[in-house]
Amino acid sequence: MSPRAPDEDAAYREAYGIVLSSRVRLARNLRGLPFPDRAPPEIRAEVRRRVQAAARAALPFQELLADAPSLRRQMLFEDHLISRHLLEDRPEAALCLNEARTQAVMINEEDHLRIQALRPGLALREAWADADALDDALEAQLDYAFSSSLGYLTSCPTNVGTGMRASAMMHLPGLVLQNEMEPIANGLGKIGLTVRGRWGEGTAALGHMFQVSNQLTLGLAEERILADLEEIVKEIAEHERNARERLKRERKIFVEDLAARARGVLAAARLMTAQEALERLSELRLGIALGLVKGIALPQVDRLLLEVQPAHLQTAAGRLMGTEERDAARAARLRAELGRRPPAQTKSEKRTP
Amino acid sequence: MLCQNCHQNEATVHLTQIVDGKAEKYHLCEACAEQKGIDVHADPMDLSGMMEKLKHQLDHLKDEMAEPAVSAGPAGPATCPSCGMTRTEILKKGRLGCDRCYESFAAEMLPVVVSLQHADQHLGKVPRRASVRMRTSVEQARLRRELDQAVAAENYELAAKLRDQIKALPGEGGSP
Repeated sequence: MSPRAPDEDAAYREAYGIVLSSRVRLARNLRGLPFPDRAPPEIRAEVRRRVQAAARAALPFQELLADAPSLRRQMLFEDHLISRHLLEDRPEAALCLNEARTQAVMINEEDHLRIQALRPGLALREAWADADALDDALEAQLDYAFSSSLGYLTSCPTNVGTGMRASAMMHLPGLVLQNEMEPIANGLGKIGLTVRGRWGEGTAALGHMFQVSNQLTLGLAEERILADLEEIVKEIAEHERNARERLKRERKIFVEDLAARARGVLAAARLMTAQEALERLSELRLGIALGLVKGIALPQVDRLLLEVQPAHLQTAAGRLMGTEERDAARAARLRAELGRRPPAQTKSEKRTP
Repeated sequence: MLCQNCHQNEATVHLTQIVDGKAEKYHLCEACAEQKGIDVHADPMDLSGMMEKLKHQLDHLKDEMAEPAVSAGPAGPATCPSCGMTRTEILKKGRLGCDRCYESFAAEMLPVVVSLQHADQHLGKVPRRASVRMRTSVEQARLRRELDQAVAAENYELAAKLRDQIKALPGEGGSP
């Protein structure tokens, strides 16, 4: 990675330090056809053909996921382009992508179409504008299932209405370390929003990464859902900034130690599980954001967060690997980037021989 | 907001119940809600739990009732005429079989939708291909919602404007 100007680093930190990305997805179905889980293979194939044809102009990169090797699907999943649902072998499931990989349609997921748009940083309205325009383009050729009272009709009643799930991916180590995440998560539930870990199941959020999204899809216009979500995401980000400042002010040695240990382990380990890599990279990310770690920039950590994941590692290696081999390759990858850096500049690292 | 039952504690439990096809809202404090046998700690989005409960209620209903006429009464047909999905399957999976299932099982699905979404009317985007009637219907619901809010806020000038807009909608007679 080429050295970056300090103000460039500051701008990146300001834009993506807490909110990494925004996403809007729309669930849509074709009128009069059974939903994918209920549809026989020939109907699913028909749905795929119709949607692929309608999407060809906007999303020219199309692939049949059922034919794709599982490593390819895992890779798309790690890139946030397909859902966990499509990791399984689902007949006639397909993906249509634009060249920038920022807009996509999943075909024959739980609904006939799952339209999605991704934007870096906090850009929910922009992501909605993208998804909305893509939806219009598709609808010009497709007849959607829609009711004037329940809106867009979906396989699961939790999506009915707008069919829209908007979410922001947030890095919240400050709130977790200050034990403030749980009350926030509980409060969100009461106002129709939900928060869950980006990686890992249930409440155990690996690497302090969370997805905050709307839970309700009916009875509110899209703009209203987005405005409410954006307001709350900004509020959570403000809480996170405060929590980080308090950590630095009141528990400086603790957070310095955390970041320095993370850096040490990442620079020296010979075996590294994905879980440990995500946790240590998150701690390092916090240290950089607080100015406690020098010589490593946030974009590099963000790139590594993706590259250490199993499918990315194996794709880079060009072959499938067993667990231990993968852990060794992951550790080697991290050592190569973080192990041979200029001498440490923080106090706690000066003791390193 | 105070509890509608004891009028003393802050209402923290908000419920919507369907009575005669109309949504009615209740606001209770935790103590009164528990007294009425409402599980206040239930996750509102726990679909399988809700489906399970609903299934019990339905089983109970089925025992009490004779075979109902199509599209009348609380229980509609047992199978969706469009996709062949059965009521039991829907309740078990928590997923519908096709768009028509929402009509076929309206009696069961509407309460589920309302308890999940706390709403029964779409106010968002309408497909461009939708009929004028559909577009007008959603627009009318949206304006009525705004009208209610304007009246609640005692903004009568805005309310009058909204009323005029509702009247101006195609095929709209004026009164609710």
